[in-house]
Amino acid sequence: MADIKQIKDKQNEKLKGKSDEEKALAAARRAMEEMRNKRHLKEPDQLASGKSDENGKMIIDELTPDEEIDIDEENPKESNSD
Amino acid sequence: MTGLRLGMREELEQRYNKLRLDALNSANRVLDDRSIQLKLVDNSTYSAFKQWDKQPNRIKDWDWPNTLQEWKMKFPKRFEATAWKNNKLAGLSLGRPTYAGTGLRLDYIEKAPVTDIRLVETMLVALTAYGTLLGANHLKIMHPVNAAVRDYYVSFGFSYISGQDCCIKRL
Repeated sequence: MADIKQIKDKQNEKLKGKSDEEKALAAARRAMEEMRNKRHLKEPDQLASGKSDENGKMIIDELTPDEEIDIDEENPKESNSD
Repeated sequence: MTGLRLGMREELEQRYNKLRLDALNSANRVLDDRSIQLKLVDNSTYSAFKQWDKQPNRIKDWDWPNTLQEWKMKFPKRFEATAWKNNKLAGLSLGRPTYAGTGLRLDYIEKAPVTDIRLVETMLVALTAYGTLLGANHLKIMHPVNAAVRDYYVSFGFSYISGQDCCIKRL
């Protein structure tokens, strides 16, 4: 995790003053590089994520301040209790 | 909705549509599999989706066309991406920034009933690019449908948070 943060900080420094296109491309390249290391993983044939109501319909999650997470914590923890 | 609010909404839609396009175009440039293309939602999405609808091996019977249209109206900052493999619709996704905008959520993702695409890899490249443009510091994948899917996200470096039923990763 620390290595990725260092890479990102270094990259952010380089990206100062860059266009949105250049920033997006740099981020996509970084993500793709990471993905190449995961090629040994088998993706589930049936894959989905999202919230449904009791009838199986897609519903819009209400956003609340509780969902904000301090990502700088070493181990991300929930801001709301179970 | 007043004319002023409509105008502001339209301005936001245009501003963020440019960022969505930047993100998808960037992802398309770096994807290793040249048979895959990411695009925004358009009419071709809706007609291609009809091939998925009512397929017995769909994991969820979600009505994407209605939801996509609703999100287009309500959330100008949304992430939206459709993945095509050999010109066949292989995956759909929708997301939006978190409450305070510190993160970017992937609220919905679904892989086509029959496809060999690596959809998560493909979408994460685009999601990372869009999140970077928004200044997000983390990504969240909401509500994985089962343990196999959840564990797959975890293998990409995400941490599962049970209280929010989501997987989270620093950007």
